[in-house]
Amino acid sequence: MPADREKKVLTEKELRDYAERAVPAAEDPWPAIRQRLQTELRPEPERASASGPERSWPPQLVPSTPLGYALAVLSVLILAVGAYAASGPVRELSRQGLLGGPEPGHGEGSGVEEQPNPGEQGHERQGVPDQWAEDLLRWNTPEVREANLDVRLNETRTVGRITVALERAYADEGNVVIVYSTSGWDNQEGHSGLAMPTLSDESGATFESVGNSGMVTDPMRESIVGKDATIEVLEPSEKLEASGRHEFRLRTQLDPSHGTSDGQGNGATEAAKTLTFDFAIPVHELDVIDVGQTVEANEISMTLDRVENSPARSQAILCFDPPQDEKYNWLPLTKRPIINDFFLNELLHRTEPEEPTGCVGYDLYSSLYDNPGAHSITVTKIEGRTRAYTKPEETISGPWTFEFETPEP
Amino acid sequence: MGGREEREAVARLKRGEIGGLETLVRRHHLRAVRAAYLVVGDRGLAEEIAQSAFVKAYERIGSFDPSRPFGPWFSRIVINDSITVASGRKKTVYLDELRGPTGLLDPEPGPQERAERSDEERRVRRALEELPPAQRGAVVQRYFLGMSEAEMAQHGGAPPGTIKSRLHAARRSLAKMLGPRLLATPAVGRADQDPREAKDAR
Repeated sequence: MPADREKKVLTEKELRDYAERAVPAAEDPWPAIRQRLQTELRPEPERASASGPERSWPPQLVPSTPLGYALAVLSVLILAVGAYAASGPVRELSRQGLLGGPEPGHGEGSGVEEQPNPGEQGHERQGVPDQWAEDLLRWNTPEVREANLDVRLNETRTVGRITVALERAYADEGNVVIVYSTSGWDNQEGHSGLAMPTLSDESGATFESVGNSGMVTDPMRESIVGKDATIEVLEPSEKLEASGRHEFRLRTQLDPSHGTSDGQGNGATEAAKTLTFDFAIPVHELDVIDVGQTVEANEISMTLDRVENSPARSQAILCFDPPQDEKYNWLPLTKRPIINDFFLNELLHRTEPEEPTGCVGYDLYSSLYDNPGAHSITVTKIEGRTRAYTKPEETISGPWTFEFETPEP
Repeated sequence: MGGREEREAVARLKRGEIGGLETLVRRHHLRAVRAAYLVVGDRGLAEEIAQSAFVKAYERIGSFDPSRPFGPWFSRIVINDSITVASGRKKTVYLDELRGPTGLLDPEPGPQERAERSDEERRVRRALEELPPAQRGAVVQRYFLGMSEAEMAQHGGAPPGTIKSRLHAARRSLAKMLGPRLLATPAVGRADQDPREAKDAR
């Protein structure tokens, strides 16, 4: 062994031995961390007395189970339906709020507004649908239907008395949407009763749910995808190549915890069987709007590099270089309508920083795909925290406003 | 736990299922506490940093590329926080906890072995203590976590030149303090280059 290699091995051993003796394997760490998460993610009123006012971004509302997820979507959809009925077409809704639509007292597309205090915001714009609802509604828009972007597959697999149907699918370079449903349950329980499907493809990409997925439980959508269908929006680990035919494989299993009338679930045998759907659909080109605008405020230069615009979702790619980036986790905040008492004003952090620019993709809350024309995005401030869900240690106010146009789909 | 199980855990976490984090905690917690301990020198702080890092991972999982391994990405959070904590302390105080009540030493070392081990540990402890926190973090990433310089640059938020410079300075300091047996600065070129780095370089 070369001398320096030997030194390296010795050093590694020395450090390892030292660390192992100083910190031996201890009891199960999970209960303490789970407790900490539950404490830190507790709803605002419970925390306020102990730690003072904090932002109320609602990790406590992130569902932890499929049923919880479905219930959350259902709750939001109920509000969404109300909002839809009360305020007119979805198009009008999505022109408001985050995406800088004209507002009373502001110029066209300015969208500039200082973030109100949590207490004030609780009474503003109640009933506007949140991202999940908007995304579900988006897929239902006439533009998508008329464009006939997705493919009707109607493939079924049966396990015992449960039938799983892959109804439709859509793909572009940055997104895949699948629509599936199950039948035969004694009690659907607001959930497909399937384990989270995994998607793979001919290119070897992996796919992750982007979170704006859920079961269709509102009557508005039944005519499109059928009652109790589930829509899943996934993103590939690397952009797909646009082509007329791309092969995918979807795998899932029955969820062994899903209830049947006897309360016994599905049984291990049926639940363990993997259901596989192979299908081939076109991969559409992703509509990319090159913006390249740079705005400076408070000595922070921020660039909106581009907007990626898909019927599945819209994403802004932002670049900025905040101070003490090593110390803080910086989040850009925008104006954002709220549901009940929680915010959705942080742009959703989606991608690893792109090399070499460090730009990061953030999901937008509103559809741009079916909203051609002038838009603006305003980041009102950025907040830096050292720990999740705590008061920001540093706040730098903007605004940084970017204006751009989206074409007709 | 295999890579597949870890990928599934990450996928669950990305869906907001806290159970995914449980799997990752069981896999990475001990290593995270040890890495943090090597940087901050305080077991209580190291536990705190590791717990906080898992909360951060929960918060930031949306930005994690699931095609990559979770470990290096998570290690970045641990090491960066450890460096921040160590930088905020006037001097790293390595608590003399090796003889504490929690059975930190192996159960049955003889008196002589125990004395030798204690002496060796004290030397390592003092040597680490003398390094600036950023260099200490680099040493821990390179020699304890086994990351290549390329991985450190990718996950450490510092340019490759900075990583190289920190490691070089740390090796020189440690070689002085620990003697030539350990961590000597390579005399020529990059004799200690990890095969993975050599591959990266090609």
